[in-house]
Amino acid sequence: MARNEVAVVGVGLSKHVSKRRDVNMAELVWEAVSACYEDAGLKPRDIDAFATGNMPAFEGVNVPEEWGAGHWGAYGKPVLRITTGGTTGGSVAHGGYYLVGSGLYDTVMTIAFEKQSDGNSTMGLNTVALADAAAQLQLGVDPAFIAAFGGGAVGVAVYQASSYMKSSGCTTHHLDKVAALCRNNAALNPCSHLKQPGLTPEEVAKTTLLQYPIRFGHVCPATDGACAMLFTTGEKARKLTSKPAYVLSVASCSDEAALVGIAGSGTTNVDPCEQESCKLAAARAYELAGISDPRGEIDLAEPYSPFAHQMLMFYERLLLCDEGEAPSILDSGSMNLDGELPVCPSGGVISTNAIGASAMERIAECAMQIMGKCGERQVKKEVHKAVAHGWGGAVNLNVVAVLSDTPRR
Amino acid sequence: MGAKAAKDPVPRVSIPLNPVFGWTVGNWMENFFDGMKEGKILGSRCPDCGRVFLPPRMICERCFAKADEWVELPATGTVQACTEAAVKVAENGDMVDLENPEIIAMVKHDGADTCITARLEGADASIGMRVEAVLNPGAENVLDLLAAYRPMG
Repeated sequence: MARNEVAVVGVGLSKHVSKRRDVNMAELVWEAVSACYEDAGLKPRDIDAFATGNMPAFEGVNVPEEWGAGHWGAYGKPVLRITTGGTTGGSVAHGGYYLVGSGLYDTVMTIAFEKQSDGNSTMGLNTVALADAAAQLQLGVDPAFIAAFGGGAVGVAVYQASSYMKSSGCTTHHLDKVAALCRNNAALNPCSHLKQPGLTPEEVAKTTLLQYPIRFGHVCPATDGACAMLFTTGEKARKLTSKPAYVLSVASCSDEAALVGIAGSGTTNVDPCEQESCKLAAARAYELAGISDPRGEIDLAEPYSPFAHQMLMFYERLLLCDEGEAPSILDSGSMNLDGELPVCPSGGVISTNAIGASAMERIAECAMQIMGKCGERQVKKEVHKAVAHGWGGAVNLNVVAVLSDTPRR
Repeated sequence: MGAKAAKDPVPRVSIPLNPVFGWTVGNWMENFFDGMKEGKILGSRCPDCGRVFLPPRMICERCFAKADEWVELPATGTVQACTEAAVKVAENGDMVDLENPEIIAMVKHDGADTCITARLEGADASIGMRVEAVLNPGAENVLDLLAAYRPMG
């Protein structure tokens, strides 16, 4: 029978850096899993099922759940693998919510990870891009032209950034400010990758221009890292901790495929900053959570933003303000750790991007902020409701989760 | 459809992809390779169930315990399963017949609970056969440190 109350009772993160040579992929994941067991005060025998995922094409290892039994404590247990590109971690956590919420399992561990230093991420992205390239080839577009535009995430982000800047009034100075805000938050997060305490927007503005308007300082790093979370029933959660983080709702929405978003990609979705699927997923998530006024009720947001403009763009697409308002809200200081609606207190994806884990780490941060477990980066205000977001697939999928300190009524 | 279109209905395009993947072996396997460079065969033991892993593993997959006890094992062991390879894969990817077929065996070292699979010298093999490891401590490539197994006696 379906359950109304599902809660997060534990979060574990591995160390996040660019190259982990001291551990292999399975051992890296073990670090996050062990930390998660410790955080929740549970042992493998307490877990009923596991959900996991990463982006297999990045490491070239296609069955990473092979190590689940040993390195995650899943020996003899059900293991479900979910992978949806950049949103993988979010989809895996949604899977954990569904497994408990369905009433089929009580306590479920979700695990997401990426060890980018072992692999070839550009190659991995190219295999994703082939789906879009097929449509272009049908139209007779030169393969060399496709390779020039499809070979990497920056190539996708620049069109989105310039389109967003035109429609919102966001300036390059706003991009610099976003990067500085996130990297300063990351400096307070022991599990973040790029820690730059005291970084100023002026310093970001001096970094190399990659492709207009994106500078080196506006882009995420490539990270080795893993994240694990424990989901259980409301009843069990209250026995385990005095402050569980309840999952009020999850929603995901697939858009038209638009990898490059330029003429010739065979899609009608020509505005890469529109992100209609994010707005639809957010609206659905708020509705399921019983939230009628997200602007008034959400206390904290973790939008998925590997590129600086995306923090502002997705803040808008998560219906937290009118379209075009986010840059001035950033200027007001509201998005800071001590602001009215702190954004990316973890430091965000722009500071740490173990791709398969990233969308789960947004949900993990919301849970930890609600549970009051964030140490130096704990936001000043009390967090009652928080929204976590993931963006991925082949730039077509948006996933949203709403968490709270009180269960859904 | 005219006859002309039917002649070549599908345009073929090749997109060159050149993947390079790595695999970090981690500290446990590094220790295993370092041991063989000194002529030692090192396994790891689970503190909970006592199983000995060779090659070593960091985690006991049944106990979820860290297998951080190191044990030096003898070079001797027993063939658990074996096969005879009749072909090899050439550098261009083609299968070519081996002039002399090669024996490959799964060997459980004395005192270990897991197997290593490697080439076995000689032309005959059988399950239960006693063998010993032939180490090549000076090998340039760590994967060549264990050269082969050799039948005993």
